[in-house]
Amino acid sequence: MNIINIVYKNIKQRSLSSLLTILSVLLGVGLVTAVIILKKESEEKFNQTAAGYEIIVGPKGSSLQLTLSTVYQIGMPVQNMPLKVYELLKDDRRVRLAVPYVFGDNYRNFRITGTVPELFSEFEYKKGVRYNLENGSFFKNDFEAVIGKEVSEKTRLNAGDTFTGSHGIESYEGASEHSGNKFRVTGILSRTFTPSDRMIFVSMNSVWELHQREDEITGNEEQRHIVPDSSKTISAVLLKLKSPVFFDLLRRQINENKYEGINAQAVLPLFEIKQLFDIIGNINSVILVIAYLVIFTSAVSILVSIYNSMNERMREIAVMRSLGAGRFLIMKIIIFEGMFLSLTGAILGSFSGHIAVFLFEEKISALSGIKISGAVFSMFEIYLIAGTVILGMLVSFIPAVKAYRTDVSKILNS
Amino acid sequence: MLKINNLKKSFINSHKEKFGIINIPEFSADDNEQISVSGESGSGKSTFLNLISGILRPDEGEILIGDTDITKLSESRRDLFRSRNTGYIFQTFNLLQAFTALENVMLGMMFTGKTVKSTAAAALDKVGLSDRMNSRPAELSVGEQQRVAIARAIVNSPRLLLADEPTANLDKKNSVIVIDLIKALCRENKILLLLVSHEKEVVEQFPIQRSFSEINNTGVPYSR
Repeated sequence: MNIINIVYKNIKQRSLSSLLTILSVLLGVGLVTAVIILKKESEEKFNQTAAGYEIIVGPKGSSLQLTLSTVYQIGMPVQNMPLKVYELLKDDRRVRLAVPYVFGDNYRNFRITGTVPELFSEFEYKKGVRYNLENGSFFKNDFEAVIGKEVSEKTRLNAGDTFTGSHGIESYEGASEHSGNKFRVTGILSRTFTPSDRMIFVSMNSVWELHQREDEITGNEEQRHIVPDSSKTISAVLLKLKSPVFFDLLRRQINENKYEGINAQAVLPLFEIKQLFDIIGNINSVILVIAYLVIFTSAVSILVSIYNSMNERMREIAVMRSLGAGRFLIMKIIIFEGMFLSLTGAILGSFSGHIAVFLFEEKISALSGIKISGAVFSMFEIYLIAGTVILGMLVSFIPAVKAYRTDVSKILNS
Repeated sequence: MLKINNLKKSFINSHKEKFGIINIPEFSADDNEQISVSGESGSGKSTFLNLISGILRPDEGEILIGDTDITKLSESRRDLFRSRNTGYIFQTFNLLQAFTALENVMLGMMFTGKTVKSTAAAALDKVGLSDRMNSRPAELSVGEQQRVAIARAIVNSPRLLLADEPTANLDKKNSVIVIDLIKALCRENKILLLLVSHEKEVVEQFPIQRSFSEINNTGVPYSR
């Protein structure tokens, strides 16, 4: 028999009230934990992904839209721009690597992106890391496709399989297929934990030719394979520069329409993402304030739960005092009860927060293009649990003082 | 063993007037004695026991248990002294409902600093409840509940056992069993027994019978 036994028995005796109190703590801590994980993970993953892209050149319009559609496959691409932009940038002596993207179609909501083989041979999506194949080979010809790992998992497409793309970057009811134009999967990329896992890469010519065929019904089969230069447009160009010193000048030249007469914009994805998170950060703060209020409310519920039980427990306290329990020991029992309720709620809440994120991983990944993990722990959670326990301890002081001041003689004689 | 000198205790009533409830010039008892104190309800008998146990602190006077004047001890020292030297039995048994019989007895040991399960079990065995150790108070008869309370009071081998109307909630048969049990255990363990009761038939079972009105001299409320 020790103080923990007494605390446990007291809590067990009021099991329903204790359970509801723990539940309210669980909700508050779970909410804060989920928000913190989502904030931390999304910021980290968005920044990680953006870090692979130094500069993106795209048509004039929203710079955030260009970043989100190119890097994360979120939202509509801005517009298209002439292929000439890519050709000029590729030949610019300041540019180390230029990779074009052309969007247009999808296969079961996975975007089909026209690009060049340099994406696989030279582009580093993370510092020092290039795309690898899990199996198969990179595309060599038109209408061959390399698919991301998630595409393969969700569509069950494997090397050698064929599929037909649908119009538009997202599938919708009634969307028409590019009849008769099948892509053949040549390889599956190893998992990158970036939005590329959700992409289908094909040659640019495949995308152009596909639309050319649809546009020009007339003409013989041979003529349909010839895409006029006017139809060769691209959605964006990913740039890697030879030196960071060229960043500002090149960006300014493009943005101020002083680059070979082209009408485009150059954006820095990391900067765009930072701006985006500055906005989201405010929303996060509001959610966090609400979550902290829930924790505070749950702390009040600990107070109410223990305080309400004090009247019926006065005799028990008096008995313990008559058996030799000191006033401080009685206070300790009451405070330990508050700490036990808050600790149990906080630990369960922390787990619930992780489970909630885990359950929504797929949905978040589909919406944001990034893979958020519910299995990420941070020091903040330790502070959150400790803070909740301290809060539970503080609110328990009120009933503890009441217990401390119990008039033993009066209660025993009543 | 127990010696009381010039003991005074007063309370403030609802009209904020001070009135004396205890005024005992002298009271003493030797080791192993078994004393019953009779008196009307509300005469201050329970307050008398609460003072001896150290739950209450007197306004004046001294209470010597052995060589220790408990009125001179700090509250925390009094609590510890009480847990080691004084057993207390109440009219309402005062068992903790969430605890089993064994746990209630162990609770009596907890505040002395050493809780030995086998000693608690032996105490329950002494009161004839070895087969009800894991029963909760609600599962026990009133007589059994009072026997658990007795086991809890003697488990620490106290020097002094205070019994405050221990039979008031019992029927005649259980009343006799409980009084015989308390007396036997105190005799066996050489414990000074001080029992207060307003029941004549209970008081008369003791070799030393005192009237509280003779001990306590509060004919006129005193003021300090």
